[in-house]
Amino acid sequence: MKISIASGKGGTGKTFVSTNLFRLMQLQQKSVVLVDCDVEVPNSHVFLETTDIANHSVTDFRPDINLDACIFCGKCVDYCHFNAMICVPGAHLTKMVADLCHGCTACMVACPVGAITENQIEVGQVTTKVTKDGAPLVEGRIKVGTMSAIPAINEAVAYATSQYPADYYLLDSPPGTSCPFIQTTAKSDIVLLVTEPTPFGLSDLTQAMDTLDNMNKSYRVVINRADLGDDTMEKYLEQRGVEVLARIPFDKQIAACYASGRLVVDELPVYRAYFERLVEKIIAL
Amino acid sequence: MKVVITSKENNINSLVDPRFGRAAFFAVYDTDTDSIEWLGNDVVDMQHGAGTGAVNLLANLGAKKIFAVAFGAKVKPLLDELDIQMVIVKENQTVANIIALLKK
Repeated sequence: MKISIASGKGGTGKTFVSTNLFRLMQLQQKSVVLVDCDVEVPNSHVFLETTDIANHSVTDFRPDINLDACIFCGKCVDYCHFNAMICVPGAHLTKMVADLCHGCTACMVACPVGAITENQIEVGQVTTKVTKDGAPLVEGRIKVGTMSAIPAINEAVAYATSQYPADYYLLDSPPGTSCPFIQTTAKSDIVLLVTEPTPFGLSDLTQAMDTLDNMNKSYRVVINRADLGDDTMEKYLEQRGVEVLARIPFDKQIAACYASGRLVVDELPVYRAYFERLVEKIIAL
Repeated sequence: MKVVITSKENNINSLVDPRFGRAAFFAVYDTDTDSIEWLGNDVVDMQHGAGTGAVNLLANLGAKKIFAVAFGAKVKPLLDELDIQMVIVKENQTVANIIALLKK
């Protein structure tokens, strides 16, 4: 079972929920792998004592343009959805702007004379770390300046699932509702949307739910800092018929624990019970 | 010689558009014929690469000089490579002012 832990809004507690679920499921002797798909800033490892055991590069397509073969027809420019190509026959120039290229290969398909060939460049790394209990944390991380997070996300999930067979995969998703969110949640059986009862929280949660509805993905909600704000979010979720699996209160003890890089399931028994009930509900889904 | 001036509106008294890639219009002024052609910018709504798209459009028109308030980091090396001169102007300039300067 693959479970994405996602949100619309950033800073709602995705990594908080992911790392605590991961730790608790290990303590419960469950076979579990955490995949950090937040490849722009993977930080799940901060909360877990781990040792690196494997690492490999993630590569992505970039066009190699042979100007001697190019007929300057401009088809590569027409095909490129990201304006990453320019073609100026007068200047005898066809060029790719690396910062804009998403590696989709459309330019290579477009070229009628084979002047564009495949080049692979490094866009990130996938690193496997293990906890002292032996559970793998597979972390995707893109190189600074890489346009698209997708290759690193895809490779992290593919590598984790092929190399480390497990009953449960927790995918700590990137924030937002754009491609990285979609790629991560599309690979999961169920999505846990972590939110907070603020206007921003509700606005971004609504976008995330709309996106998942479009994808026909099943999701549930975890409300973090649940005693903040008013009941607008609860009423909205009830009206929309969305099940809330957990309500975690706003408590300075949790904030202090998180800020010192520790996990509430280790430190605060009262909150460990919250996560125990959450695990039960996830397993029952 | 063709010279391009970014423009907020498609008339000569318009202020320059402070954005290059996402300028509303490009005034293409031909110094040989003293004529102006107005181009609506069809890459203005692009999520990515508006600057690159604008370079592709203007370079293929044969522009040799572009007047704008600022040029982005992706655009500068492209224009350098294409040997198109970048001229930075103040935001309070009108297209007419710049053309008058060109005629001096």
